[in-house]
Amino acid sequence: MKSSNAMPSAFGWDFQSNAAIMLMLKNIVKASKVKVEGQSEDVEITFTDGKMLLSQVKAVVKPDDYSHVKEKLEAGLRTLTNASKLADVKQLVFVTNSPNPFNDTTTMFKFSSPLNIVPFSELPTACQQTISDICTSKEYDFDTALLTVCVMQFHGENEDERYKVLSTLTTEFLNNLGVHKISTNQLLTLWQHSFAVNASQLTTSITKKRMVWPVIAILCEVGEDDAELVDYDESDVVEILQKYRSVINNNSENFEFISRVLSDNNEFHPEMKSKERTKKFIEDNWENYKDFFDLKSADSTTIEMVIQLTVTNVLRSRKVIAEIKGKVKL
Amino acid sequence: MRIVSLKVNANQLTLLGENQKVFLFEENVNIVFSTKNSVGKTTLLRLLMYSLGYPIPSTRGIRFSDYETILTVVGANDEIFVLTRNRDYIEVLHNKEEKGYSLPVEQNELHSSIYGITNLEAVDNLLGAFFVDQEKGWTLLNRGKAIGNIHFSIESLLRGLSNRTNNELAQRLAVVKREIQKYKHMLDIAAYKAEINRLGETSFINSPADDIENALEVLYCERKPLEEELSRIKSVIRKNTNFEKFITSFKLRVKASNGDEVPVNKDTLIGYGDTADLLVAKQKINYEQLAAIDRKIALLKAQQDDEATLIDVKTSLQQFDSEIAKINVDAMATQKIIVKLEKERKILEERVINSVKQNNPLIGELHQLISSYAARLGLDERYVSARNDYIFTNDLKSLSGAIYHKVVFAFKISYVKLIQQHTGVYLPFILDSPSGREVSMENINEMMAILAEDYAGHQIIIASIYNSYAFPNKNIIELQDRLLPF
Repeated sequence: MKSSNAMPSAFGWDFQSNAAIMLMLKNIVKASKVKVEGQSEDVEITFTDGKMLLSQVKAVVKPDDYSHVKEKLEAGLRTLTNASKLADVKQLVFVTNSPNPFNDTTTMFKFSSPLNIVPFSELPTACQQTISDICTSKEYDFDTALLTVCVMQFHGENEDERYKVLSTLTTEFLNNLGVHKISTNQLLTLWQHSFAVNASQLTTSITKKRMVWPVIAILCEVGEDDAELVDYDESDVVEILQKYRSVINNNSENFEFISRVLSDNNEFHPEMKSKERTKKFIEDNWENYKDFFDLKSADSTTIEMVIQLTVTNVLRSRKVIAEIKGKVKL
Repeated sequence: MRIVSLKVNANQLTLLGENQKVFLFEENVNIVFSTKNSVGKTTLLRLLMYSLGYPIPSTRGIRFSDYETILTVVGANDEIFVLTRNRDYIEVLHNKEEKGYSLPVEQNELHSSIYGITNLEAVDNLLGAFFVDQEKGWTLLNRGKAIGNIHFSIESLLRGLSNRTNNELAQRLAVVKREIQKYKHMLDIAAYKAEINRLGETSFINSPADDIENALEVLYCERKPLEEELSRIKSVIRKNTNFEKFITSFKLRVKASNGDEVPVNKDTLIGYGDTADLLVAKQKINYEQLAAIDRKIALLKAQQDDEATLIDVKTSLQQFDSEIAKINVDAMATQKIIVKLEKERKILEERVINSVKQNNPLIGELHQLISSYAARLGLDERYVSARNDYIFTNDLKSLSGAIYHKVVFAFKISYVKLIQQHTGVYLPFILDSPSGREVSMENINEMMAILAEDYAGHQIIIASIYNSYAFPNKNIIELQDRLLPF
């Protein structure tokens, strides 16, 4: 997805799928899935209540080339008119990366931020007039109150530059979740690849679930967080994790084991406060799970550490899953 | 020391039934004679030295290692030694005692016992003194190779005879010489490298093909743990699915506290959905990482295919060049080291020579012997200088063939005489084809006369196409057709 000049269609797809991510992130609480149609330059977001956001995405390869922006606007409005006829539509969005979507330099100030999302009512009068003129001459009839114009900066060969807006949005998303240990880049790349895998089909549908669960998965990775409740030397933990990571994972991902631990934990001193309760639970119960672990060659301290880390990870993962799911209404 | 007899046995049985040949040698003069050339005179002389335990190169047509040789000599203290040699093993029967020696490791020890000379440096230089081979013997004056790789050095001989062997010095010199050799090889490599650089043939040294190969290697290394993790996740998913199916198969129903009946299945098992989603997400992350690597691999492989169609597989010469180019040799530094070592070698050699030369009466004696014999052969001071250190001369090229021949003869017999005077050992004197090289019959006769007069106590063995040399009691060993009929 690099050379924009040689491959305008690849560039267009890149912009479209990133626009889809942007729209999802902007609507993450209410949205349930996003569909990208390459052929018609559509991005559709379905909300949990069944209502839809329909979007037309038009990319310009050179940001300072305004020669075709009006045509693109017209084409976009035509498609959006047709879309507006569908039931359940509650928002129409025209997305572009041109800083001058109306080919009117006097209105450019309105689109000069990295990301500008402007409802019809807030557009400069000249822009409103342009849209009305197009609709009149082409006999497009849709409720302009549904329309939003969105300009997202997206250009340059350098990925850091091109994906600047997306990076900011992703970081914001992670901040809202209260997540700090996941790299923005890692997550964004993962999302972008989710679209890229299906680029050849030119139609991709991605659910919120698929976007959010990787975050949970990364957060649930067994790590030093799981050693917080138990008093171990940091370097010992690092060594154990290095050697026994797959043993820990095999159990912390095993539903039978998870059920045992969660049930035991549920019944354990419900009157105690959460943190002390978990700590005591681990101390009192870890030996009950020895059967799940096959650690013949390890010494007793190691066995204790491995089992305690696994149990902690199971309990922590439950908490993480509930937290994140609650925050994004999954 | 003198040779009594040589018996040659074929190691393999032959069709002719005859598989043994014996040559007998008399105490005084023996002429190995044949009217024709190429019947084995040189071979017989070399075979004598071989059977004595020397590393003698085979002559054309006869490989010495194919035979067992049994040599009988009168050695130290006028006692009989019988030496049986099979390849690199020689067995010595002496005083009814048998002793085995491995060659070439125990060669000096063997010879020391047979000759009765204890100084090993002297022993090491005997052959060059008494054996004048047809090929190299007549060009060897005071240092060089006597035959094959057997060295002779006048300094070394004199050191041995005067018991002035300085091992430390000699060893250091040997080390320096070896190092010089090695550095010269290094310099060759540097020159080779410079050559391929000059010709601009180094483009393939860090070729794109190599880079691609390396990059692929790294990617495969990164891929492996991801692949293992992916299969681990898959197996956990399978395990969980089986567990859920097992539970669901019981068709259990439970009653909630509000009285609702709830079927037990994957939708109602608390935490099951989360666990499944978590694993799917983990698998997804893992799959993405793998896919990213695979994309890179595919890209590199495509490049590799492109290259393969453009360039032929490296020839072994190119491969060699590329290996050489990787070797880092600093030609300038190497050159400097060689110069330094050469200086050290010269100094060491001078010290070695000086250690022999200083206050050594043997030099005078040897010079006296050589000058007097040279004079008898008609060579005056123009050829053989009156200065004592003439015997260490390096200036040989200026001498013409016939004169050189006579100078060599004078030197050799003088060595034999000097050895006799200082060790009491009467070495045999073995000459191959003394009549060659533009030497007049008159001179030959003079040489033979010297031998007859001054070397009566020594055994003399001469190989020649003449048998007319004037010796009383000469024993003629005539060779006809082939030396060994098997």
